[in-house]
Amino acid sequence: MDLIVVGMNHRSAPIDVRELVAFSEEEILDVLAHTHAEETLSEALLLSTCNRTEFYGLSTDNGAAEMYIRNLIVEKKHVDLESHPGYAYTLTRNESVRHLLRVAAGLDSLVLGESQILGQVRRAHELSLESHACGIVLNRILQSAVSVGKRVRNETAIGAGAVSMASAASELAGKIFEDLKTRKVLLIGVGEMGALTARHMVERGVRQLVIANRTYSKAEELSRQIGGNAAPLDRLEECLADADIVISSTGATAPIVTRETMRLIVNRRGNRPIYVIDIALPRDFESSIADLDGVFLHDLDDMNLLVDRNLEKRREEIPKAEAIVEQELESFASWRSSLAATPVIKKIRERVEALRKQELERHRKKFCRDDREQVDLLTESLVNKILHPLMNHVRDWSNSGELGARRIDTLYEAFDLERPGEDSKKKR
Amino acid sequence: MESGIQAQNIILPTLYALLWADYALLFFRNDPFAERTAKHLLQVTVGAHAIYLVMRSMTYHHFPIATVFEAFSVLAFSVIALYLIIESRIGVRTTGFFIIGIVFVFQTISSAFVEAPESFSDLLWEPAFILHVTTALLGYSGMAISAVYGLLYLMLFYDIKKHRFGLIYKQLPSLEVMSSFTYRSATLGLVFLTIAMVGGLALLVRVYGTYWSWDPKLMITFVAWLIYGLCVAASRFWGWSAKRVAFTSIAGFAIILFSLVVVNLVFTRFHEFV
Repeated sequence: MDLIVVGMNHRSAPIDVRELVAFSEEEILDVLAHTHAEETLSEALLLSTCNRTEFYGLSTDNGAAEMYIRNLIVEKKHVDLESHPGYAYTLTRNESVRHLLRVAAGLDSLVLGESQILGQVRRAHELSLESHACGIVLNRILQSAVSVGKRVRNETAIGAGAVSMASAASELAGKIFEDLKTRKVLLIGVGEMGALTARHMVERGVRQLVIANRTYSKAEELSRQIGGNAAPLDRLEECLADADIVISSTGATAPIVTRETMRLIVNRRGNRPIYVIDIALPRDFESSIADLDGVFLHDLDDMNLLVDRNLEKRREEIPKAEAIVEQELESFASWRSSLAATPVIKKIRERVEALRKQELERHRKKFCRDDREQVDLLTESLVNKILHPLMNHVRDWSNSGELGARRIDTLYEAFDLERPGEDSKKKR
Repeated sequence: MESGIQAQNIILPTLYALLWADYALLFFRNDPFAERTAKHLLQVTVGAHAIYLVMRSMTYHHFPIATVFEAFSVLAFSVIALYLIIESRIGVRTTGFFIIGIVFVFQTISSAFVEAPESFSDLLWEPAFILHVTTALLGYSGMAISAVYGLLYLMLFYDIKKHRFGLIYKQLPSLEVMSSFTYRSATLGLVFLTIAMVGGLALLVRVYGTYWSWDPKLMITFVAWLIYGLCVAASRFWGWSAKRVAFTSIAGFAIILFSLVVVNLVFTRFHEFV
């Protein structure tokens, strides 16, 4: 029984193809219920995020499983993966498990080490459980995946540091002010990047946002979208004197705040520091403003520098994260092997126990009532002692590849036991 | 018990060296083992240091500030004890490396050169005197911690200003936190030093029958008190920037160090109890 994954992600396919095979939660439940009702996949999971759609299935026949998944996508999404050659990938055996663990670790994400994916893997697991498509093996793989995700984030710095312009601005503001929730933010201009940065600050709970723009109606419109109050640009100096954090991204062709203006504003502010994020090009604040005490000024290049450094640090953590993935993969493989040993151990024990009870019953009358209990204990102990070394060998064999598998197979023959697949075939 | 004290003179610097190494691993490498062990090792070291001072007091029958090297150990203890309180209250360990470094140096010098004083003034068992010295050392400790946080504030301040996003930027808490520590520790130091000076004045009158002495240590301590007074008052009432407070705090502590080291070695007379 192998895990197979058929899918496409941000690396293998462009967004206009990925969006064709994106599944909503309702659709996932429907698809998984469908697979549960049929027999090709014994267990299934569908992970669908903005960067990937991946269908995981457990099957004894990888070829049939792949065909089944591709047909299912045609049926449900009317997309034939064959018509988009090179966009979809198929992984089997260890590679499919490793892939899921790497996905959960954020190693396969668009933004290396991002943590959102772990929540998405958890949600996919819940949906699989809800639709009864998740069995013992997939459950164990997903537990490993979540464990990898947590360990990678706790034991490495792969998720540390801001890696987008907006989060870099928030990170820097957090290095100046302890609590952004008590801070006032001034956004100058309604440019896309500035608005995104301001939105990020609002999400981090800043106390007050003021949006100042040359065209007042545009400031009002943006304030309706992301919150805060609009202000006309002619009140800029007053707003600067009041703000703690300033995000500036106007389309002005020359600086709108000179050093002299800022010096006067700083004097009005007393000892309160002000943090200016000037992401306009050309810049809105004269660069010499950075020399003023109490003013922290960062421009686009500074932000890019921080993002690049953080990304570099994240990349340095990849080997540690990959090592954690390999550890969990090994642990899963060991569990998987021991799973192979479980049925034969159980069956041998059942067979021997049945024989023991049968013989006890046959010779029951030869013992007095008091002795029967002693004989029962004695034979049970004897059986346990005889079987104990054999059971240990079986566990070892289950972890020793093909040769071990053959030895276990011999045991089925020696004890005249039915193999796991044979019982279900007979039942059907 | 004397052999125990001798052993402690080796054990304590070793413990501080281990503690410093642990906090260095934490600061430079975010080492998970150091993260797990730092708190416990800090508690053990503070405990061992407390035992050492008690043993010394009981064995030599005096509060251990008879010599400058004994005073170094008490000073090291009060700095580390104050730091333990700060760390347990704020949960930030990345600044510990800098504080423990100072404590390690003070205790190592103390352990290396300290000797059992053959005779000393009876003052060393007087409760009023012990209170005077304890509060003075706590005052110095507060000021030492304030100066270290002031220095860290300035390092982070210039790193952010000059767009250097290195280790200091990564590991230290925000400028606001650093300036708050600088100010609070300075205030604490000032309060203790004020109590010490009032107590010292009372002792001066009782023992020497005068309200004033031109003793260099007393003079320099008075100057340090004025500087920290200025630091706290200016920050609180005159709107001084955190940067200026940090510079002032560092200058104040430099004067205290001068008082403790140079004055003790060169101008010894008053404030000497052996």
